[in-house]
This record gives sequence, C-alpha cells and structure tokens, in this order.
Amino acid sequence: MKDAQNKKPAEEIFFAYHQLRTPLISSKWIAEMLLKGEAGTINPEQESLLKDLYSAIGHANRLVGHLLSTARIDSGELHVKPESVDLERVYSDVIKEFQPMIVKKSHTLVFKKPKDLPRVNTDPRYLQEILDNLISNSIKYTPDKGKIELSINAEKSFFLFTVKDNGMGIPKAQQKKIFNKFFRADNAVQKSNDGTGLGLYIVNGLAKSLGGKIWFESSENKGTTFYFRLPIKY
Amino acid sequence: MATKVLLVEDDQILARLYQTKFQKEGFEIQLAYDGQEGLDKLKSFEPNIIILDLIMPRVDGFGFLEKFRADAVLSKKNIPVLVLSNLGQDSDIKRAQELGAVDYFVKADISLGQMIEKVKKYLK
Repeated sequence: MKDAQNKKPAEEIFFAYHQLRTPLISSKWIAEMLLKGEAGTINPEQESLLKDLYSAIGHANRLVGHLLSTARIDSGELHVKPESVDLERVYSDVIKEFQPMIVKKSHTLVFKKPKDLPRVNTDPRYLQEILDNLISNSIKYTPDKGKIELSINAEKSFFLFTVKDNGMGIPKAQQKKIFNKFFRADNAVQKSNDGTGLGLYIVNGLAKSLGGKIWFESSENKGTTFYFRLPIKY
Repeated sequence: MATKVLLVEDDQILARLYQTKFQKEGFEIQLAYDGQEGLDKLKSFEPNIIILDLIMPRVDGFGFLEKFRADAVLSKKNIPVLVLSNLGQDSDIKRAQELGAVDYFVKADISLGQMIEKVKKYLK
C-alpha cells in the first residue's frame, strides 16, 4: 500500500457505511419476517421473489462489509482480540452458512480434520471472515457438481487450513496479482460481475494481522488450493 | 407480567421492526428515538432491559450510558444495557462496555430472532 492510502479513513467514511447499513438491515429483517409468514401466508411465487430479494440484500450487505474490512485493514484499525476458539464451532457455522449455496450448485463438500482438535488462541471474527471468503470463492468459481475439500491439520505451533476445489483456477500469468486490491482474474470477471476484487485482499490482510500466512496453488481449469497457516497462539 | 424493554434507536423503520417482533414474543416495549428521550422515558417506565443504539442525534448512546451511570437512582437498579452497533467498530464497543454496557450486537450480523434470544439470555 502507498502511504497516501495508509492514512486513517476519515470518520465520514465510517459514518457513510453506517448510513448505508441501516436501510439494508431493515430491508433484510422485513424480508425475513415476510418469508417466515409473520405477516400472513405467502404464495410460492411471492416466496420465490422474496428469496431473490433476500439474497440481493445479502449481497449488498456483503459489499458494504468488504468495503468496511478494507478500510479497517488500510487504516490499521483491526484491533485483534484473541480468545480461545473452538474450531469445530467455527467450521460448523461457516458450513451452515454456505450449505444452501453448496446444495444449489450440487457441489460435494468434504471436511477433513483430526479427531481431537486443539483450541486456537486467535480472533474468531477474523478467522471466520478468512474462511468465509476462501470457501465462498471456491463455491462460486467451481462449476456445478464440483468438489470442495476443507481440511485442518494441527501441527505443534500452528494450524494449516486448506480450501481445495476443482474449479476454474487462476490463470498463471495473473497469479502474482491475486492479492492486490480490486484485482479480479480475467476468467473470474467473465464468470460473474458481482465480485469486488476485495475478498482475497481482505483475506491476506486479516491473515497477516493474525500472525498467519496465506498462499495458494492453482492451475487453470483444474482447480485451486488455498493454504492458511495460523499460529496456535496469537 | 410481561418483560419490559426500552429500545433507544433513532431509525424509525428499525425501531418499528423491533417493536413488532418484541411484541409478538410477548414483551412490553417502549421506544425512544434518541438518548435524551430514552432518559426521559426512564422517569416513568422501569424496563427489565435496555437496548441502545450508539449513533443518534441529541444525546447519543455513549451520552445515554454516561448519564445513566451517573444517575444515583437508575444506576442502582441493575438494568442490563445491550448496545446495538452498525459497524462493530472495536473502539465504540470497548467504550460502551467501559461505560457499563453488558453486551453488544452488530446489527448486520444478526437476525431479529437471534436478538430476542440474546435478550432472553440476559433476563434469566
């Protein structure tokens, strides 16, 4: 990052996010209430439209979240708060969140982990955000009926998390740029235009802030494996 | 007797949504649209729990907490205050906790149902 961009984002920017989030939150809650039939029974056509509305709101919310995380990384305002984290719990939350997308794309999800998983001392919010971004990319950029493999290996002083897919991969010539802010690989742009190019920038920034490291192996049209090494103790 | 909730939230749409949801769950809820109105409401209404937004006109959430804590009568009632944050900014959350808030929600991260669950937890 250049120095000029490293300055603290103005309070106005945080305020703007606040202003932007409020109507998104009320929209999300209204859609939730309608979907649950709390304002009367809905017919299947209404349900289908409401589900689209709900997912569009979720998308807008995630965009704001990405912009906010980016602003925090750039301004050095991450303030890591380590605590003892149960990884089983983190994974079950993440998997639960993505289950509908996995089912929709008919992916197979495999999760490998040691029998007794030790706890990790880290900031659970950022760990979750890292895994969220990596898994969401895998699901999104793997053609239907793909295979997503998550694994955790516990070593003496660190954990190694992997997220492996057999998706479209990252073109070799562009692999160096993949963690750059706003960068999106050509094949990803062709696939969908709803990415921000911020996900991996955030993943990399958060991983560093947790004392960890991110790297990957990828080959176009074959798949990508992301590795995340996280110290057991922050 | 119904559990009483005071909600201090300046966004009227959000406030009405909480009201609908809490009423459906059998709570008695009173709304205040800024910190000063919240403090005024407490003169005649004694809630079991307070849900407080942070960024508000006139008296914001921090101002509310300061005055609430400084008030000899109110501070003795042990009414838990849950803070609502839009951004989950650590500095804000930390400051609110230092001022006596027992917990916080990041609005974008939770559903209304989860909020009710959390409120119930503090009422046990």
